Amino acid sequence: MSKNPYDRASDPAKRHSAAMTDGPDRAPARAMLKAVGFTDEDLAKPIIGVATTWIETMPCNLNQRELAEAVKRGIRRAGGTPMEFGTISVSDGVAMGTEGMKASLISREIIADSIELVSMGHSFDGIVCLTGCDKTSPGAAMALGRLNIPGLVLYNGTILPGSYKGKDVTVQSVFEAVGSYNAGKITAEELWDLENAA
Amino acid sequence: MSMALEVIGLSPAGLNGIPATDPDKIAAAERSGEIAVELVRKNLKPRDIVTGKALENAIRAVGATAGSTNAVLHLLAIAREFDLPLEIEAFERLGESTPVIGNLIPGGSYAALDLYKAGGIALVLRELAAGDLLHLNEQGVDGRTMGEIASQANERAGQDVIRPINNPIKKTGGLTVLRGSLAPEGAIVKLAGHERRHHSGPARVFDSEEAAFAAIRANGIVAGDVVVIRYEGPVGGPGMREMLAVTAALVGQGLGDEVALITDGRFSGATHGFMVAHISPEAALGGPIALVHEGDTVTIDVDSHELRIEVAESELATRRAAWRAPAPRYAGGVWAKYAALVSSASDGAITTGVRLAKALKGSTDR
Repeated sequence: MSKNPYDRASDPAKRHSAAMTDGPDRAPARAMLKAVGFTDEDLAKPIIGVATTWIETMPCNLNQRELAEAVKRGIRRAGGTPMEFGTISVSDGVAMGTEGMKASLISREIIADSIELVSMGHSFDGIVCLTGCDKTSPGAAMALGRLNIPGLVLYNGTILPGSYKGKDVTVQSVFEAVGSYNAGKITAEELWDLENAA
Repeated sequence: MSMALEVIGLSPAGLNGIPATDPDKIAAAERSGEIAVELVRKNLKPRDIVTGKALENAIRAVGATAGSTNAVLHLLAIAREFDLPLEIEAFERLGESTPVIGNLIPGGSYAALDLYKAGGIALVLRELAAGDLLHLNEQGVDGRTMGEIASQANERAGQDVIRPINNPIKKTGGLTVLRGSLAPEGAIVKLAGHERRHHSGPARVFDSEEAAFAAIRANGIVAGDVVVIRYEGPVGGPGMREMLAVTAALVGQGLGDEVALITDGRFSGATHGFMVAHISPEAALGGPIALVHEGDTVTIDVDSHELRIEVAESELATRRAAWRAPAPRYAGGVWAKYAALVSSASDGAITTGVRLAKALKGSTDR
């Protein structure tokens, strides 16, 4: 006589996700998740969302897909099931001085909203947020405050400065060089060299 | 903010500072995944970790490292999302009693990478603890308290990035709060990287960042001027643009030490000079910054915490009566949606705040 496949004790740490994954009523949701590749064993564990703010518009967040794989290894090793998702980000360094810069602080709210929505929408038990430039870190922290499910934020790390005439240079150096160029203190060639070095 | 998040406990201590290209970052990410599962098992939630004392620790750490004015806005916002009371005055109270010990850009010499190599944020915590300026028992997500993290700091011999608390770079913090006739609900002034405490000069008024930038490019700003950039607040912009292109252009022209700039917008962490931002209430909501005329004398006085306009109250009343709110810059889309909901900078410019509450009340009144 075969055992009822749904007759399985729920992990007490699945405080939220049990409502999404456990029991015969949840067969449709399980069908969807199994189509992603999740197994019965995966779905019996606490489900941890892994939010990235990966984007190709700036250098600051570029390593997040690689880091997300590492976060997911850690989650699996500790007995959880990770589900990765993406949120948005806006580069201050790129948008600065344009109308687009109005999007920067607004992005903080959208990052918080989107982490909150995905976590609520998919009944996550916990959340790891990978953040990089600008509004991504506060946006993630705000989402944790709203959700109040166990979780953390990991900043993906500072990017390295460039080198120009023996000195470390960053995008800040380039912003100030624009002022020097407009004041006639440096040439267009010097500005361009700095842009390429920073 | 990566430092602030470690200090309020939401990021595992020591892991944020590892540079993006460092192989250790991968191990840090794996460890973070493990910690998340441990937190779920223990049911230790963000609101168990982020307390009023944790916020105070973060404000101290930001002050000690001459952190950006954006940190003020973000910590006010985070506090509100955690339902914790935090007023802008906390940045004055704690900032004024926190020495700057971080020799970090833009006011100082070193970058975030140098701080990491010197021993990282734990060094900042250790020095704050030595100065009795840290709540030691606040917990981080890795289970350690701030006191434990501080005591386990690993300092690279001879480092000059974080000074001892008894030999600081400056005795008080890198920013503080101003009020006064131009900022009844507060404004933030940057004090890092310069020693200026007072400036009084003629207002040069611009109703957008672009207008100010064009004037600077045309060499239209001279020593002594107070550059006023308004209608760039949370509602007015919308979105509080950062004035880095403008402030960098002033520095690039050699005017950084000669002029002051005030705005209802924001500054980048990279902005330096005698600059005041987050002026509340903002121009678009009829704040007094909207009433400034070209040539009015504007005074910034850090010692009295005042940002004021040297114009008689009767004249200001006349101007106030004549002021009309400008049409919103955008009629639809995300800009308009945001402008309709966002709260003042002194409330963190959040979209879940008082203006949302008012809108919700309106919807039940119907």
